Amino acid sequence: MREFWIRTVSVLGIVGILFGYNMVLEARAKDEQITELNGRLAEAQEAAASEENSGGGNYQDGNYTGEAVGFGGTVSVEVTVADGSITGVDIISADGEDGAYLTMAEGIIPAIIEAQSAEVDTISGATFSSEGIRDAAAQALEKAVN
Amino acid sequence: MKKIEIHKLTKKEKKKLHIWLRAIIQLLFFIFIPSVYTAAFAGVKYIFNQIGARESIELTAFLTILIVICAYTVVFGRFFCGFVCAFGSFGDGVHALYRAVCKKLHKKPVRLGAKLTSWMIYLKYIILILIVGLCFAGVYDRARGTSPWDVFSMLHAGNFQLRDYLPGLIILLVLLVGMCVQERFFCRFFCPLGAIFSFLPVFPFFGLYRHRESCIKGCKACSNGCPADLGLPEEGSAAVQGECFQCQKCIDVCPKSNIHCGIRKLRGNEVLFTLLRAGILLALFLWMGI
Repeated sequence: MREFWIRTVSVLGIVGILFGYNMVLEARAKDEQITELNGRLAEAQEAAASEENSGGGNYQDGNYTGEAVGFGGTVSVEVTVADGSITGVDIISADGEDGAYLTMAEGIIPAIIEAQSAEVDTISGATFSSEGIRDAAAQALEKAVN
Repeated sequence: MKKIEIHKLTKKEKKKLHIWLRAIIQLLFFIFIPSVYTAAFAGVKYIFNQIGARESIELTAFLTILIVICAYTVVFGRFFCGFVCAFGSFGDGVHALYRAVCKKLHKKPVRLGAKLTSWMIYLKYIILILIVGLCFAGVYDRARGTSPWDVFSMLHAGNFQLRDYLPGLIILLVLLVGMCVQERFFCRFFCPLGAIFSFLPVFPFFGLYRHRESCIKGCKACSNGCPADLGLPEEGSAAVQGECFQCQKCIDVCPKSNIHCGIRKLRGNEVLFTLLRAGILLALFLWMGI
């Protein structure tokens, strides 16, 4: 029984450390957010300037589908383009992918939308599934290029 | 109804029932839910990746699985390892096959010495520290091709693009040899997730329990039959140890049926208790959307 309590205390200690770590980061994140927002403002201004040069969005409006190989089969996605920019990436089918891994891999979708391109980094830990989503989106976007 | 039937069975029939029950549960989880162990360990890697990158830890799908599996292990012991983990079941299958072949050829199966295995169990902690260290340093992705788990998952999913995974494939083949000669070779000596489970506290309520007072004097059948070579304590009940992966073989090996698991007062309900534990775990998996 003594060992049980020692182990319990150690596990609680580790969980406590992780929570503390998260809290410290949260406090720091607030400061960083301010600098990041400032940075984004500058970026947006720059982007607005370059958009003026290129004249509108990079893609033609519409819904485009694409397919690529994921972990255990084909992943197909539908990319929605509105006003010349990517507004959504929906997974139509991914039967060969594993539930938890696909959920993790879906984290690549906001990255694609933010980058307005399929050239983004894969999700660590769910490399194959996120590669599948990314490549399928890339294939879809090929059809959407002006 | 079923309870009465189970009580009527002879010892031999009961043993057979337990073996089949375990095999069927293992097979079903192997076929339908094979990825939990990698997903749970991906949660561990995620934590250290984030800390190494000075980023906050969020409750991702992997981390949720890790937490749920650990919580389950704290309550029921390493039932996940013994009945559900696809890699463990794979090892059991390989070992059973090797034993069957040996029997057919009338050859004595090779086994590793107890002295060797008693220090080999510490290798898994070294592997855990190594992987976690690589994640913390942010260089784990470069060692990705070395993971035998990744290779196994890919083969299981019918994905044969193993070009970048040659080291992992070689390691898997070496492990295969080990799995033949020693039951639960990988789980006991190399599994980094098992290393984490070994550290967890386990509630004493549902573990294996031995009524030592009615044992035959000097009988060591349970210790001898234990695939994890756990020396059970001389006095009192079998302490639930981190190294025990709940294969439940000691229950059937005991000539006096002194070993039980589950709720103490309900002796002889191991079958129902096993079904209950498997059911709870399945419900948790479905709830998490695996």
